[in-house]
Amino acid sequence: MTDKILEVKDLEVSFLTYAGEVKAIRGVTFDVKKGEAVAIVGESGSGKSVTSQSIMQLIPSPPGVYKNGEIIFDGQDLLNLNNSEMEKVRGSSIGMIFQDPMTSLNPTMTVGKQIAEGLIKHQGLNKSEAMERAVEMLRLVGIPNPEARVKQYPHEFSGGMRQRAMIAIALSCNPKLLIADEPTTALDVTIQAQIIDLMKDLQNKFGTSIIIITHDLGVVADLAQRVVVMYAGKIIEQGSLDDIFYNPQHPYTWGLLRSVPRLDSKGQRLESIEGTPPDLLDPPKGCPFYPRCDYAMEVCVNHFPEETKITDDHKVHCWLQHPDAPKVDVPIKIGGANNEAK
Amino acid sequence: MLKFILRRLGMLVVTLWVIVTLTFFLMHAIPGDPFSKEGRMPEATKENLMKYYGLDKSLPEQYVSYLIKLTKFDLGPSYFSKTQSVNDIIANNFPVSARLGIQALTIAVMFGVALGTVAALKHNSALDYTAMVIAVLGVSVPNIVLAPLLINVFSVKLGWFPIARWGTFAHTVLPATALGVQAMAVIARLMRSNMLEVLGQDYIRTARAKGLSQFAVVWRHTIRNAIMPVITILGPLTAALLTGTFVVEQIFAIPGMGKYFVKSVNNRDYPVILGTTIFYSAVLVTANFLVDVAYGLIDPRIKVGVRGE
Amino acid sequence: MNRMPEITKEMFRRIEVDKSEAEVIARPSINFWQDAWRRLKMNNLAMFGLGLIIFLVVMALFGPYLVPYTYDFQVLEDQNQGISAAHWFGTDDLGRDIFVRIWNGGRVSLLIGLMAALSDLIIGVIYGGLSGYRGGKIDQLMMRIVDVLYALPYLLVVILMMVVMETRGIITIIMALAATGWVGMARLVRGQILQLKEMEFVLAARTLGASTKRLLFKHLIPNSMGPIIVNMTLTVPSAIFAEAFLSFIGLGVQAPLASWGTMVNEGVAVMLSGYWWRLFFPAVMISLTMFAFNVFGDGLRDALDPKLRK
Repeated sequence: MTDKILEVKDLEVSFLTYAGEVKAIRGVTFDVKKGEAVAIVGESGSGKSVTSQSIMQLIPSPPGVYKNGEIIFDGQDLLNLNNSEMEKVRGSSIGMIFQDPMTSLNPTMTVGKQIAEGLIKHQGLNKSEAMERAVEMLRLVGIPNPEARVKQYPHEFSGGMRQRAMIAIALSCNPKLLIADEPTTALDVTIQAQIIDLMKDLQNKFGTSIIIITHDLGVVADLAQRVVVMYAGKIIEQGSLDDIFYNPQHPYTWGLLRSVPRLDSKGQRLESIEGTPPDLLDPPKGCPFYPRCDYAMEVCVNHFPEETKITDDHKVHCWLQHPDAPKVDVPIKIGGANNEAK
Repeated sequence: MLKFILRRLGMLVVTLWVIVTLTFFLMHAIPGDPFSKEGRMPEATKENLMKYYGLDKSLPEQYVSYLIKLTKFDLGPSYFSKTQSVNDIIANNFPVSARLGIQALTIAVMFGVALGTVAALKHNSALDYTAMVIAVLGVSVPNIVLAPLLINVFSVKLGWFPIARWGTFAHTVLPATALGVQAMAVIARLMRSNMLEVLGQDYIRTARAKGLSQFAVVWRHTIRNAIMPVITILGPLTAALLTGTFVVEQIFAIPGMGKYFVKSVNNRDYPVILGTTIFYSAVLVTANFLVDVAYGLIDPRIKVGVRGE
Repeated sequence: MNRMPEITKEMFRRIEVDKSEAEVIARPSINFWQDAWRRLKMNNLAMFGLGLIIFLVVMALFGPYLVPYTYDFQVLEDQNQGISAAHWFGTDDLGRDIFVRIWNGGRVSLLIGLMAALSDLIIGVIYGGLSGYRGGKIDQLMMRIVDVLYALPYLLVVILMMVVMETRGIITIIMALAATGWVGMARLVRGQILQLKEMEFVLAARTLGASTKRLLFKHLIPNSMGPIIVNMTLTVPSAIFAEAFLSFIGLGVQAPLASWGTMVNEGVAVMLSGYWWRLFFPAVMISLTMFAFNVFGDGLRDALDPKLRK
């Protein structure tokens, strides 16, 4: 129990729009252990970003509403905190970095001041102390000549440097948990690797737990110890990195793994999962994936499958796990290579 | 930055020159001579007058001598007022208008920014709707309607302020309000939409993720960014205020430049019209220039030397 | 989640799912204008403005025929009469019926507003379109000219033109407004064209071999229509204001023709004598008209903004 830094239980979040209630998250349960990096993967619209922003309570409200659930961080339920209590958690115990570093920094404030703000608020530093820390933070995240850089504005930074600055902001108060919402999606491939290396490095150095939201399985393999797969607002499979990459159980996870291009599968067409995710205004009653599933059964249409524990850590929601279900061959090789048969 | 200022200054001079040339030839395109409306006048007197005002020379000559006088800030004599030159008239009347205008602009900026900010922060609430109804009314009720309305309510019915004329601070309240409300409404609407846009920006989410208080997020990150476009419309707003003084000074019987300008328009006092137009244009173009420079100073993105647009 | 008792063995039969169905876009596709109209209809204030505009236009057209007077018909013994069955809005100092003068004035104001918007459109689209479409040196030069004109205080220029033009009247006012008003529209059109020229779908049309004319009429113009229409709608109230302003300072339409601006001017002069109706009705009319066009224009802007399309 004490080894868990974060437990999310039965979380349900909806957006009340003119068109109706969009059920973005429909009962999500997972946890993050101390010092662990957990990846949340899924397509756009699967609810992974909403999950991460819910933890920080950054969901704009209205239209967002927390329908149900608990978010227990470090022993307290964040959903029970009032605004000013939550402010003390944000940026201090939980840091967050976002997808697009080009727009995530205030264009009219120097980078140094943007780092210093959180330090002044949470650690009671005065301005000059905070600016000194800001220089240190920039040096820590690998920005050359930080003394000069703190006085510059975001537009004078390159994309990769801005993301480093974002990381500096997020880590400035030494948080216990870092949430990274697609931190590399908007960056060049070469820069992506640098940012992931930096995060790994800092995780080792400070023992920070990480939640990384991504759809890039390369990033997952590189950084995460555990993986949560989301689809249409639900977690459909979660397990250790090895569980998900070497023993995936859900057809959607298979699809995800098959859609990764591999150097050793020359001459084959890149696989994709046909179809689009369901409309969350009116989510399907049964398994949300069945319309796109090659193994769909009658039961899938109207009944959402219960959780099946493959191991203590590896859980999946799929009717194929039911004893009455027909046996199917996993259509991928160990490690995610495409099956010849396909 | 220096290059930016110099470039803008160059623009300013060219614009002013265009205005001078345009107004000069417009004024002289009027058929007949300026004294034809004064009734019969002996030929000799008229010739003397024409000579006195330099009207006997050819148009290009007049133009050149006008330009030369302008470089010495001399706007020439008035046809009507025999004792005052155009310079005197401006010196006597403009301070009143300037005070009125500055008071109106202060009202417009203060209340406009406040109204727009509150409306955006309470988006879609009753407060927001009220503020926006006020703003739409402010844009829709022109000063020629608003001024009499204010007089009727606050002077005639309630007796809070003097009905007209100029003197104490109480005299300035209603005319400054009548003049400023439209600009206030424009600023409020702009401020609101800017605030809403900025509030939706990613960096606001970053600021909130840092754990900053709502107040710090709004004050340091939102208002600062939202107010910048408001600065850019101060130029056009000043122009609107300026023409507004023509009406407001008329209705409140304020002895300002606006009232005098309307009088000279009706009297066809061409040198005054010409001189005042040039003076006003100079004021506005300078205001625009100052706004540009101020914007360059405030927005760090412009400092690098590339122009905003 | 409830235990589901009815899970039976038969339910584990494989089913074939038609995947193409999953590709179907959930909502029916509607075109841009239908969507804009749908959103406009949801905006009560904008629809109120539209209703008001229609009412004002109808009254300006037919209002004068509802009473047995004409705008210049004087009954000297009926001076400054208040509201009565005979004179719904009272009379002025020459005994003229204000109701009929209001709607005649409405014709003047609406005509000026409409013509100003139209002339802005024509000049602005030609100038801005040419500038944006040609680009390069020509564009540079044309835009420098616009920059200078834009810096001119437009009402001041209008006043100057009114002073210079000997004949006063509706045509003169429209000409003066047209000469100064197109600058904003030209900038807008140029901006739209430049933006659209760079967009991928235009490039796509180009690579498919579309002709310049087709490109212009099928792609560029329809896509820049939104902001142009909004700009036109918002030009109307500012032109109506300009006319009232000019009339107020004595440069507008000449007696006996009425306009709301001249009527307000006369009304202000007698404001403190108790003839409130002489100021009240024209003042309300100007404000109502400007209000109607402003809220309708705002509503249109929101409805036509492609960024807001959901």
